[in-house]
Amino acid sequence: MEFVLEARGLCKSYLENRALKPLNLSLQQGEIFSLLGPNGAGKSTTINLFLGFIKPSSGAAYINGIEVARNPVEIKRYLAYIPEQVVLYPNLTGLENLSLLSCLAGYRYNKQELRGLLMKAGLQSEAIDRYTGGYSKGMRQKVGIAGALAKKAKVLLLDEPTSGLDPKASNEFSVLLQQLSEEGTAVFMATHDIFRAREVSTRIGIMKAGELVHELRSGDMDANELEKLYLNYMHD
Amino acid sequence: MRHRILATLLYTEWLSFKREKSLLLFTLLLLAAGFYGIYSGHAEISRQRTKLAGLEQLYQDNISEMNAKYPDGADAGDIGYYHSAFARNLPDSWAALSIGQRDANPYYIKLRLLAVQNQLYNSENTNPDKLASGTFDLAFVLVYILPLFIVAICFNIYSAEKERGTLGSILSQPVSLSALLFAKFLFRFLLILTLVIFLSLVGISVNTATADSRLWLWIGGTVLYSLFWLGVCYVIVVLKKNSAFNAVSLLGLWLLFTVIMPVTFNVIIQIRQPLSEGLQLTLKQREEVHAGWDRPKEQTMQRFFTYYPKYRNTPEIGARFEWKWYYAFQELGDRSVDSLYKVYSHKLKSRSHLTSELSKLSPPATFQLFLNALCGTDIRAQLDFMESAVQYHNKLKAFYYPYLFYKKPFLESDFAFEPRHAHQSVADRNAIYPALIAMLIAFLAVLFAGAVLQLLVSSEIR
Repeated sequence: MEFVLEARGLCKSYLENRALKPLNLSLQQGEIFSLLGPNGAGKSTTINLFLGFIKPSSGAAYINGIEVARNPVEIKRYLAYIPEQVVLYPNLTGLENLSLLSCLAGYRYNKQELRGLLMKAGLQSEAIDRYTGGYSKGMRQKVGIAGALAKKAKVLLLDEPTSGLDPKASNEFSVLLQQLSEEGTAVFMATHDIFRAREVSTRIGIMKAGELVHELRSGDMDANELEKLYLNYMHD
Repeated sequence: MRHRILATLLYTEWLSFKREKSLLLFTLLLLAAGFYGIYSGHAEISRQRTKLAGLEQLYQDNISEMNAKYPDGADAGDIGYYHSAFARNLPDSWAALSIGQRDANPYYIKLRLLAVQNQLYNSENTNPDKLASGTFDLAFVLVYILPLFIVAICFNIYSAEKERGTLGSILSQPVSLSALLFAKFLFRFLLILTLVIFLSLVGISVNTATADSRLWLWIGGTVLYSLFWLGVCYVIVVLKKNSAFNAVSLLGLWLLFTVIMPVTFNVIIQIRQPLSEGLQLTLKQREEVHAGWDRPKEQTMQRFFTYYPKYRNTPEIGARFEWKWYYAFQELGDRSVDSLYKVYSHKLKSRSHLTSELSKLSPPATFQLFLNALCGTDIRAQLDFMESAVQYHNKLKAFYYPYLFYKKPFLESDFAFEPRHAHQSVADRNAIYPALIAMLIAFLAVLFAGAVLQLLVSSEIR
């Protein structure tokens, strides 16, 4: 079985500080993996290593079987990234932002197709031609999702996607992720939201002080049990 | 694929530029400064041209005055004393684009037959405050304001994307950071190119400057100078510091290159090549001329005849005042400072040489010298004019002396034969290419420094 996202002994240290202890992890097509953990646990470091924004101290990250650190530009053809605050060019419209992102990814869509992608990502049609300077976080996230759809990403990396979203937007977002997963995209997200993680994910990991301390299938326990388990780890 | 990404990035820059008010404002400010520079340079040179053209009327009026005063022919000595001619420094058709030395130094000299040395430095009074800041011409805009514009549109090329957070969105696409930076610099370069070519062409057509090979040199030099400043921005941008750091360091570099270095060069030149001959020369010549009144006439004439043996057999001087004796001691005053004057001129030239050598360390100073050389307004052009004014004075002497020594009356019709003078300033071709090469080297040096820094600074994006 080919893994679309894989970490083999992936490790990152800054001087004496070990931001990420050797991590082994692999995701197949369509899997949704949620990484739980407090601030500073190493979740964002892990995402940045998969993005190639930072270089591993040892071990390696792979996207679609390609080593990230050696091919930092190429892997981005298979990967989409939605940061905690999706930032778009404020003086471009939603459509122009998506056009920019998809052109950079190497795709040429006409306006109708771009519009369709934004609608599929759940953006209200009247917002499409407005400057994104006035968008809410949820709307900007939808442009980000449309960007992932546009490049037919095999892997979607998300950093705290639901923080700051209202429950309705948060729910819409979960539905979107499940759609993407059904279409075969593997999703890897860092989150604090135990309830959402339990609901949307296929697998869940708990990270503490740079170490993946527990891994489970989300069907293994309900949200309360998961919260208890998480808190147990944090109290140690 | 690669050039499609480049095209996309350029197009995005264009959209952002159109909608970013501050960038548009900077561009309009640069254009406004450029237009004002063109206007103000044009006004200054037009004023000089009008003045130079008006000299002919003054000259003719003076001749009419002389004719009215001496209707039956005059003693040439009276004419030499009361009549004045003009040495004119005619501007090149490019002069208004870069005024250079033309506002700080005389562009015409009123000459009489008297000793020339103290006439050379007489000039009209000008407000020294105005001279200190120099005339606001297109060259000023290109040398000093264009770099500020470049800094203003480039200082946050990387940091703004990072601080806004858009960097992550772009770099999570298959685009390298180098490609992104290259596109951004390329866009700005194209913008600058458009602006400087537009301003230069407007300046050239407003002043009806002859569109000869200097058109290409002007534009080429300006582009090279812009590239140097883009390179300086590149050096700071690749350090990946925050916007505030970039802005402060780039303004610091601007100050270093445009103000601190030229001022330092000035001090170095004053120390290394002090120029005391100017004052010595004036004092010595004046003492000699004044002493002429008290010296025995015969002694003065004998000394004069060693320079002009052909007048030795002319009628002897009597006891009374005679013009030829008067002009003889005037001439001896000049002769007494001959060697000092040679040293003085030589020092002025070697100072100007040292200036251009030192200036190679500061691209703005080099660029200013380059533009002045191109427009025939540099020190060299000024010294050439002074030299030609002295030559003209010699011609005047050669014209009047025979009247004095052979006691020929000076008739109304003789004015037609009086030598006239007009010096045409020309581009200083010898200074143009060394300046271009110095700017090219400066550009390559910053480019190299930037590339080395890019390798040294961590490629991680956090």
